[in-house]
Amino acid sequence: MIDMTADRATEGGSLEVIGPGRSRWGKIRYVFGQSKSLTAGTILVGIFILIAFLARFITTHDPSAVLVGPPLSGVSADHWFGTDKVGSDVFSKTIAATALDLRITASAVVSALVVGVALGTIAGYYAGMVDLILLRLLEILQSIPTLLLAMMVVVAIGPGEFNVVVVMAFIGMPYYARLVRAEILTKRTWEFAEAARMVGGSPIRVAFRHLLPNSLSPVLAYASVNAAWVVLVTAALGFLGIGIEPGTAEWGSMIARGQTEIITGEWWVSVFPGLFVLILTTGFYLLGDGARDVMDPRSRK
Amino acid sequence: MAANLVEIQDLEGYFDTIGGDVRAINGVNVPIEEGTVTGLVGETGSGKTMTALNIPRLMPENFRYVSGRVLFRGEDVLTWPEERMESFRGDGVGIAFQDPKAALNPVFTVGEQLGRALRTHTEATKNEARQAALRILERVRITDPRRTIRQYAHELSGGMAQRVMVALAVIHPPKLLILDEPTTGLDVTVQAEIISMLRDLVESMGLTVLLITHDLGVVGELCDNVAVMYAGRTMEFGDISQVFERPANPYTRELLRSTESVEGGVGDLYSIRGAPPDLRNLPQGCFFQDRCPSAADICRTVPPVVEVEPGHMSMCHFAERYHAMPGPLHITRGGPEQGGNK
Amino acid sequence: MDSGLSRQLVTRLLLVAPVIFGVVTLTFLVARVFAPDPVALYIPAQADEELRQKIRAELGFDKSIPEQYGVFLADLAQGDLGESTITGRPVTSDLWDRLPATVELALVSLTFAVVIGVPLGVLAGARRDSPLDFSVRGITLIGMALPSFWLGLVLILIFFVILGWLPGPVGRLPLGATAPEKVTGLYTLDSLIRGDLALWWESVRHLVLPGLTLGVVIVAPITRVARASMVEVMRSEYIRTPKALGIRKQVIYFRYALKNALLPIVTMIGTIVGFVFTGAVLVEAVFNWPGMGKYGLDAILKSDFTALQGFVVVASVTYIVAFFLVDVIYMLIDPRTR
Repeated sequence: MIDMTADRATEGGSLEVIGPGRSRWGKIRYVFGQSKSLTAGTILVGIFILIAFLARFITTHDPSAVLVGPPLSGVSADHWFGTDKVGSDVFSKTIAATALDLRITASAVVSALVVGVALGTIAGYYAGMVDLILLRLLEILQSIPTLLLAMMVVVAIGPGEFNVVVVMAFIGMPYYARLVRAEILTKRTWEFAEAARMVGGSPIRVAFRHLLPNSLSPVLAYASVNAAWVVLVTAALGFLGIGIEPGTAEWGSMIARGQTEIITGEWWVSVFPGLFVLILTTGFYLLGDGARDVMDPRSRK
Repeated sequence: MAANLVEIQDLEGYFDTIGGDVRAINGVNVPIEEGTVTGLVGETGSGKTMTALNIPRLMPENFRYVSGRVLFRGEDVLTWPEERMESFRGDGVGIAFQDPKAALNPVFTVGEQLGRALRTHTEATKNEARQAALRILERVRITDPRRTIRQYAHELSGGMAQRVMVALAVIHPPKLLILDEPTTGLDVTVQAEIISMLRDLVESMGLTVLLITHDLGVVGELCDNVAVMYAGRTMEFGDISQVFERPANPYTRELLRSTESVEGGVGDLYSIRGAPPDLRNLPQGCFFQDRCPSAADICRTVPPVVEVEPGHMSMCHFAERYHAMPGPLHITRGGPEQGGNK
Repeated sequence: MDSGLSRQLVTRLLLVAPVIFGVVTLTFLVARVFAPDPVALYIPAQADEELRQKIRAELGFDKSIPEQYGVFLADLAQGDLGESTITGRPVTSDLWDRLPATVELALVSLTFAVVIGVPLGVLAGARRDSPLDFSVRGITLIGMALPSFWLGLVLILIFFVILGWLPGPVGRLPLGATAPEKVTGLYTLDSLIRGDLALWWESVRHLVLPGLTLGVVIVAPITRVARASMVEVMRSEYIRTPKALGIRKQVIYFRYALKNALLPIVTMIGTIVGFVFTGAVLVEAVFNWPGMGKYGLDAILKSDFTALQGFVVVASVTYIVAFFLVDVIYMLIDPRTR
């Protein structure tokens, strides 16, 4: 250890340095002040959530209607993102798809997180045999390229929103489990557990009440990275035509629909939904980066 | 008196952190005479290493200067451009860092690191560098240099790592060598070996040294002059007979007393009461006032630096009074071969 | 290689075996248990039950799932992945034919990504919070967020439709062109071997867009890992030592720190090697690139479960082998792991 209290002070704990003196609003402002990524990510994702909820009021045409304009007409005042080959309004469809993609993302991330965290806690707490077996199983799951696994399982269990969520959650879950397990195995968290056991807590209670809350920061930071992945893979499955039921307004399948039009120059059919995927995913990645900035004091100056 | 090779003058600075300003350096004055060994002594957190790191300018990024100069042969290195610093480091000033196992690169052999260090400042060929590496390892008393040269940091014992660290710093001898806690964390026997090795090395290479330690025993063994630091201030400076025999500062006295009780092994273990002040929230005036046996109202104003005898400074309102008191103890002054003041 | 090192390698190989076994089993389960009746693929739905039974028996689907599993494993042990329902050929030879296309694409994109990503990440990490670092972080973040298939389409739009500089998504050669005689299977090499410069030029032109698309997709994670790893290393005490010795910055970054920072970078490249050799399904689909990924995709879309199963097994084993190689490289780089 280098002889310097000063330098140790710069590495001081994470959120507790905010101190008790600030109001709740002040704390929130302080956290966001720490990271531009966090702010930018929150704003981007927030906008998409708003779009999802207000879709009905934003769309200019019925998203599922055909021939609301001349087929394959370009960007105009009436059709902001143009129309596709059956004359549907690309803007309205893209907006309508936001709700679907966000719903899938949220459900998949939450399910993966809950199951993964529970498994990871058990593995980390019991160590030994349970840990070993769980770890091997997770490793097997992670040895199959994720997109392939998703494709395979979706084809096996059939398309549909619910099935896509199940597959995404299934694939995302091992990462949470491993993160939580690794966190719980650190000495720091064991000290909490020891303390709790001393006062007579039951093992499971100790694991979930004392170990878990002290291990959640990296899990939450990872959740937004996981969300970005879900958005991308959902779009990829849609693009390959095996995710959501055909015909549903979904970004990936919209991009696929415009694939031939790209060659003939009607770019808007594919480009706009793709931009939405890109921006939402960027938002989630920013959020993940920002969360890490705030939680890891060493990544700050 | 020989000219000063390096002189740290009125240095003051702080760390800009999320928890507020951490005032690590609050007025440091250390002259380092050419050809001498100067000790920088104080408790953990007193800013010794931070003071020393100012000479090669290796301060962490969030360090901010308030005032002061770091003169090298009369020129202020704090004003030099970064390119000039690059050639100055390793040539003008070298450091053997504390905790050598962490300071040595884990994925390069000792030989690779030594070779690169030499070839940075000389035109030596790879083969010449290898020969030089073997020679320098011998001088730091590594028993089997041919073996060590092929080893990695994790394969070295603590004492060997310390010797390699010193070898790395002196394979191209710098004008000023900084030794940061060279004996910390080692066995007593290994400590003694390292001290005797350092003494011979300094003597034979004619090095000028700034030695950082919290161990007054080591200061007694190796140093000609000593600066005592507390909460980022130099409390006292002088040659070691002046400081050890007639300390003119209450902090030095307390420090000597606590060392005495350890070394003597008799009576109660004495330690200074209280704890060093919080660097984020330093008191007005003298930083030692809360722990000082003779604190008075006047101590709430910044004490003057008093030259109690030629070359012997003390930062205390009562410096003269302390200086007039009989010396508290007799610290081990090294073996007969120790040259005292040159 | 000393004996300690080889003993460690053997241990790791032994650890790899159960994982491969698990992957194979999982793939079998998904393919057979969840899959629709494979017989339906061979004959029209109105065919009578007797014919169905006959075909089932012929294909071995009349046996129970555990029995089928036993047969599957026995075949697999002899390197037999079964016969594709669609092509009627052994899956192994199908995959073997498609390997060169995938390798060619993988090599181009990997080279692009490593040559650009590693130095950029290292510099950004070494000069943290510099303008370079901010740009690298921003650009790679968007790179991570890019859907590869959409990027492919946008590049086609720009370079084929609008500018007309490069060919459209028609595969490895212009429609109607004959492939060069197979030596390595890589058209860019084989055409040169035959001395056909015109064909070489065409194969290069066809390789640019898919290579660039895949390259852009994989350069982002490599750069980010290189940067993060460098940031971590630059904070360490052993990097302050060469600084204090006056060693030049460039030397510290690329000779010292890079070697320390290499482990996570190698891990990431290992993951990506596994990905580009097998999982570049989307890019191959967009560009009609006749590689292994496209084969796997066709198998999925046409419910050819034998082919799919074979492809996933090969893909996963490639993945696992890539990680094993990463472990080996680890041991070579870091003396502490020996």
